[in-house]
Amino acid sequence: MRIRLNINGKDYESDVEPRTLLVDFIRDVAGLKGTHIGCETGSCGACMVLLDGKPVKSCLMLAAQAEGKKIVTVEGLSEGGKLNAVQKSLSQKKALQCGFCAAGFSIMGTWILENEQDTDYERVKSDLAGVVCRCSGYEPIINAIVEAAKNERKD
Amino acid sequence: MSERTEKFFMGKGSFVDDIQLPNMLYLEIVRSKKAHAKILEVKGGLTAKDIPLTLTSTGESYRMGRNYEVEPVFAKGKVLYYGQPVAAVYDKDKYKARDLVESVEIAYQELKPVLSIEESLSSSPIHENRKDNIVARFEIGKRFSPESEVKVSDELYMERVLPNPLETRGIVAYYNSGKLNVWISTQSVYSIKNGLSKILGLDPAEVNVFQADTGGAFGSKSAVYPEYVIACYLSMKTKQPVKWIESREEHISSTRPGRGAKAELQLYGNKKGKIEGIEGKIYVDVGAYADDLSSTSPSWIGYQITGPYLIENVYIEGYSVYTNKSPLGPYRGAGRPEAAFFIERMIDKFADQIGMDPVELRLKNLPERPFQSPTGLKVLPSKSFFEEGIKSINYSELKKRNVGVSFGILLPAVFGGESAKIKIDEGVVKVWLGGNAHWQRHELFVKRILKEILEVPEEKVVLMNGDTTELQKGIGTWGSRSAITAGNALYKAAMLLKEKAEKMNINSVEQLLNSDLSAEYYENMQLDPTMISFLLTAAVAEMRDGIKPVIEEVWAYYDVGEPLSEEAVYGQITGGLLMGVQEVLSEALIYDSKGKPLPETMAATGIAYSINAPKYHVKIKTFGRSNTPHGAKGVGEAGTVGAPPAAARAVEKLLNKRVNKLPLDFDLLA
Repeated sequence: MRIRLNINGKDYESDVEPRTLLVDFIRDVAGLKGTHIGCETGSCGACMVLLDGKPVKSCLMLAAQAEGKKIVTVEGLSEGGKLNAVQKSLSQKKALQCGFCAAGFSIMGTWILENEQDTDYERVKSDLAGVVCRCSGYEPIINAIVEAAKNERKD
Repeated sequence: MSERTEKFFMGKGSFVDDIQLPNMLYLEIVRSKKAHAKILEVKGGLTAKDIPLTLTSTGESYRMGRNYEVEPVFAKGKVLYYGQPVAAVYDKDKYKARDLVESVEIAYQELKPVLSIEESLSSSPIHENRKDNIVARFEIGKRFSPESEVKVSDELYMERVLPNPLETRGIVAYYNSGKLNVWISTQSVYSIKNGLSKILGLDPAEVNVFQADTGGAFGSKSAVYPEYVIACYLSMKTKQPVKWIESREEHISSTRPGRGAKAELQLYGNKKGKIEGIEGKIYVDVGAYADDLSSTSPSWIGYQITGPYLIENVYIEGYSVYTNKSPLGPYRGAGRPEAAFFIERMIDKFADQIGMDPVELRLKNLPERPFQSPTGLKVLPSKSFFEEGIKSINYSELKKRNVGVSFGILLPAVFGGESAKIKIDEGVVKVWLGGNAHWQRHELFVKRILKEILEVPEEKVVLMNGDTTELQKGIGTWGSRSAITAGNALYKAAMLLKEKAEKMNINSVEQLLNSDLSAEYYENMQLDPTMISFLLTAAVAEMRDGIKPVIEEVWAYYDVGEPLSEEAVYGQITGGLLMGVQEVLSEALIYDSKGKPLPETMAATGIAYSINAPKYHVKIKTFGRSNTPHGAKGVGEAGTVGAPPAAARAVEKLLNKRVNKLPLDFDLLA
C-alpha cells in the first residue's frame, strides 16, 4: 500500500506492506537511522518519536496509523545542526554511555521540557520510566534533563 | 562535549543495524522450541548438513585443551536448549525472511529436560558420549580439619541473569574479492576474527573485522556465536552481503546469560568474630555447552572467595555442570559478584549467630600485612581504607535503618595485556585500542593520557572503533580491565611516539599534528595485588506500598586507584550499582518446567527502569596506585560486585528473614 508520512517536516512516500511498522518506515524508507529498535515490544523506548507532539514507541505502531500526523524523530530535534537544550545537556554532562538510548531520552526529555510544569528530580525520574538505560543507573540522565529544564526557565 | 553522543543525536551513528549494503540478504534463525529433544526431521532451510561446523572457544579467558562439549553451529541430531539454532532462512526482504522461519518444519521426539544443578547431578548425561553431567571439577585451597567454636552453614544461589544490552547482537558479513569482511557489535574484534577464521578454516589474513558502534554488551558481545558463522558462510556462498540482527526474544532464549551459581558453604570461626576457615562446594550451571570461561567459572569464584579478608583455611570443591539451558557466558562481573555474594552472606550470618555487628566483624578479619589466601589470591592490607569508608558513610547512624554493608575486592582481568595504536592523520590524533569500547568512557582516559604525554588538545583526539586492519593484535574490553591494560598500552605507545617526534626534532604540538607519525604498543600483563580495588558498599531497604521491598539508597566508597577521569568513573559505578541491586530484587532469567524461558519481553526479565533507581552516594577514592605508569585500577564491574550482598542484607533486615537466594523469593513476603 502507498503510505505518505510527514517526518521532521518532510514528506516521505513509498509503497510498503500494510504491516510495515512505523519504526521500519522511519529507518528503512526515510533512512533516518537515529531511531533504534531495542526490544520490539515497547519495553525499552529506543524507538521513541513524537507523534503530533506526544511521545510514542514507534515499534508498537503501524506506519499506516501515522498518516496525516506530524512525526518528529531524534534527528528533528536539532535545528540546523544545533542540538536542542536537552541534547546539549545530556552531551555536556556525558550522561549517556553506549548511546543506543540517545533517541529515547532526548525525545522524552524534550517532551518533558515542553509539557511539564514541575521538572524536579522526582518528576523527571518518573516521566522517564518507559525508556531503558542499561549503562548509567539513570541518575546522570535525570540530572542532565533537570538541569536543561532549569536553564530553559532562566532564558 | 562528547562528539560521540552528538553523532547519535544527529542520527549519524553507525550501529550494525544501520549498515546498509547493496543486494543485502537478511538472515533469520529457526530455533528449537524444545529444551531437550531428538530431531527426527528438518524440512527446509540451511541446517547442520550445510554447515556441519562447531564453535571454538574465544573471548574472555580463552585457553586451549580443555575437555568439554562445544556448541555446534546448528543442532546435530539433538537439541539441547530452547532457542538453539536448528536451521536458517534468508531473503532480500527483512519481513519475508521472518515469514520464512515458519516454512521450516522440525519434527522432534521430546526428552526430559535437565533444568537445575540438582537435577544435573542426579540425571543421566545430556551428552551421550559423557558419563555424567559434570563439565569439570576443581579443588581450591587445601583440606583442613575444622576445630572451631562456631560453625555457620548455608546454601546460597544466584539465578541466571541476561546481559540485555539495549542493542541486541548483530552482524553484517560480506565476502568480497577473497576477503571476509565483518561489521559487528562487539567487545573484541580480535576474538571475532580469531574465532571466525578458526571455525570457517580461513587464513586470518583473509578476515577483516570492523567494530560497529556498540550499544552496550555487559559480557554478551565477546564470544563467537553460531549466527555469526552462519552469516559468514551464507555470504561466502552467495557472494552477497548478509545481515543478521537478533530480536529481543532471541536474546532471551539464546544469548549467553551469566551467574547461575550455587554454593553450599560452612564458615568456621570463634565467638570473638575471628573467621578461621571456609569450606564447601560451588556449582555453576553452564547450560547445554561449555567454553573456557564457563567451564572454569567455579574455580575462578573459589579463587577469590576470601575477598579482602585474612582467612587461613580454605577448601572448596568446584563443579561446572551441564543443563538443558542456553550456554552460560560472562555477565558484568563474571564470577566476582558470585564470590562476593557467597562470602559476604556467610559473614552476615556468622555475625548474627554470635551477636556481633557485621561491620565490626568484617573489620576484625582484614589482614594487617599483605596476605596470600590458600586459594593463591594475594591481597594488600585494607583496614584503613574500610575504616575511613565506614566513617564516611556514617555507619553509626545508618545502623539504625535496614542497612546492609559489603566489603569487596575487584580483580581486573588483565591477563593477556592489551595493545594500542596512535596515528596522526591530517591534524587529528587517531587512536585504536585492542579492547573495543562501547563508551564505558574509554575516550575520556584516552584524551587524558595523550594530553599528559603528547600535550595534544582533547578535541584533536579521536578514539576509533575496533578495526583489525589498523591494529593487528589485541584482546578485548571486559573484566574491568581497560583502564589498566589499554591505558598502559596507550601510555607506552604515546611514549614511543614522543621519542620518534624528538628524534625528528618535532618540538611543538602544531608540528606534531602536521606530521604523519604513528606508534603501536602491545604488552602482556599479570595480575598484581596493587591492581585490585577495594569496594565498600551499603544499601538501605524500605517497604513500598506496604508490600514491596525496595532499595532506597546506596552508598559506594570505591577505590579506583588513580582515576583517569572522575566523570568517567561515576557513571560506571552508578550503572553497576543499579544492576547489582536489581539482581537482588527482580532481575533474572527463569525457565518454566519444560525449559522455556519465562520472560517473553525485555521488561519481563526484571530489568531496572528509572523509577527503580535508588539514591546514590558515590565516593571515588584512591587507595594506592596500581603498578602501571598511570596508576589506574579497574572499575567497570565494581557496582555489580558490591551491591548484591549489601542489598540482600538490607532486605534481610527489612523482612527479618534470611536472604540466601537471588532474586528475592516472593515466599519471603508471606
